[in-house]
Amino acid sequence: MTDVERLFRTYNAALVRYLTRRLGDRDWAEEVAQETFVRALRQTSIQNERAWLFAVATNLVRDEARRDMRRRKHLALLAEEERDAMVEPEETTLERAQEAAMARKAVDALAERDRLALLMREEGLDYNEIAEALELSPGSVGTTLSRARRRLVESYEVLQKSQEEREKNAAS
Amino acid sequence: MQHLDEGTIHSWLDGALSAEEAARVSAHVEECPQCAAAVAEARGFIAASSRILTALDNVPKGVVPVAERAKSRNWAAWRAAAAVLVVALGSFAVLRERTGTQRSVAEVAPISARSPASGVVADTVSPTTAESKSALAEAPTAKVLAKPSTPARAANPSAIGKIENRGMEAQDRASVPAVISQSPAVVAGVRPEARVDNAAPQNFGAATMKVAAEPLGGRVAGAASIVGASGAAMSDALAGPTSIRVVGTPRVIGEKRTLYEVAPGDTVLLAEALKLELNSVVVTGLGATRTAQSTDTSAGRQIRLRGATSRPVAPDSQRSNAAPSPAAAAPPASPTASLQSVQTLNGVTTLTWTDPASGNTMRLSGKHSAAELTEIRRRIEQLRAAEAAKKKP
Repeated sequence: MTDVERLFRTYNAALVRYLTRRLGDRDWAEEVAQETFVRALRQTSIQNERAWLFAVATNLVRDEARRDMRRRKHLALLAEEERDAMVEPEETTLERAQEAAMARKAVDALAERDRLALLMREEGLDYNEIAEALELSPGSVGTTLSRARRRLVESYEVLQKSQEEREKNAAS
Repeated sequence: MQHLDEGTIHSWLDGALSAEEAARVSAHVEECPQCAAAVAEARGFIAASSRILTALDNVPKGVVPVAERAKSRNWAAWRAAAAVLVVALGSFAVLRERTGTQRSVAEVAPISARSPASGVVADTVSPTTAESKSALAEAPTAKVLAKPSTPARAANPSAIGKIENRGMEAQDRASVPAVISQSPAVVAGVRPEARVDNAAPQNFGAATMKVAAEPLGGRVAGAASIVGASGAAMSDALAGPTSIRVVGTPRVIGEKRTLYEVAPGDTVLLAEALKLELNSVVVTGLGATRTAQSTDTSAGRQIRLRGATSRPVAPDSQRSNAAPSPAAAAPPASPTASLQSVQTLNGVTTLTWTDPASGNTMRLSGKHSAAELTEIRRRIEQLRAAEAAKKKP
């Protein structure tokens, strides 16, 4: 097994999940993850693999996001239309979709650094790895994470409340 | 000591502090109710944010997850009902069989009932008068094969061994396409010969049972249908609450295509090739001569046939060659049902079989598991039969 193969097997799942959560698009996430591993191929040595991979993936997203913003938006719209065309008979499905949408909003409301730190932490990166990937001082990771978590939960709760109110109004 | 700041608390809970620092924090939390409360709150934030982030994973990818889920729920409901029925009928069949002169292989029913998670598809049907030429079927210990992980036991090998007139057909089958090629579930059964003129004493135990369990899901996931001297009505009742209807007939040269809606927004396509194709099955009358046919392996996963194969042979029918083959043989939904092959490609499963009445090759495809499609096929055939009957003067 080559080194890249090992890297892929070890980190691909976490990386794709991280990117999916970051981007809200699984296909895009997989593309970026693959590109990340291609970049890893070109490296002669990587010190902290996980931190390196997450850092490169994050930068790729940033670069690509800038370049492709408009195209992506168009595609996202198309995808949305397609999704709307599908039957949605189940309440649980609707609930889940609502949850996902609120989670998306709450995550998007975070500052970029907070969001990335939090998503990396969820994939098991330790404080040093997060600090390395995001070029933070290790001492500030705790503060970053605590802020990110608090804000995420709080804005989610706000969204949840307004959703409940909307439902109540709709019912009455 | 000063109160702990939030960042430190999170670092501590995340295990990011040195042993020394951690001990200090821990000691402080012990004696400071205010910080203990802050720790509790931080734990709440950590858990809640994890949960919120998990909700992000609910991202559709290309295919239609919504419809898929809706469908599986519908199926699950009547599958559960089917499971209950199978158990009941299995017991019934066993009871009847013990009092009779001829034993029924319906004994396999309890097997499937016992191991609902094993992916057993048992297909037991009434005995026939025909003599089986299948060496495997004649083996005194015809085995009910099951997934290696959850071996189904042949309920009573000796009993089964005595049933020389009956064939035993074990087929690999699974409702989860991905599983089909890897850890095939099993269809164990005996072919029906539910002809009325054949319904003499042997038919008292007549019962067709199909139990398909999703090997992964671990729940009973199949249809149970009863076909026998008096079982047809029951099998109709099992057609379930969902009705099939025709929603379109796209025109294609050389084929007759019909779109059926099996659930709102959920359609399957039935294509009837208007000429006989070679990869189908040869059927001669009711006693079908089945030529087990290998399906095109390149196109998708296929179901392998395992275990003994024999076929029902009506008195007036030819002997069939019942050699075990890698063909996919689905349990018959009706006595006239013929062998069918199953292919799965990109989530779309296609059943191929030959319509015994017309000799035409039928293809039924949709985003369903093989087991579900087989059941849909049965319902479509019922519908077509009803329509054909109506047309007749």
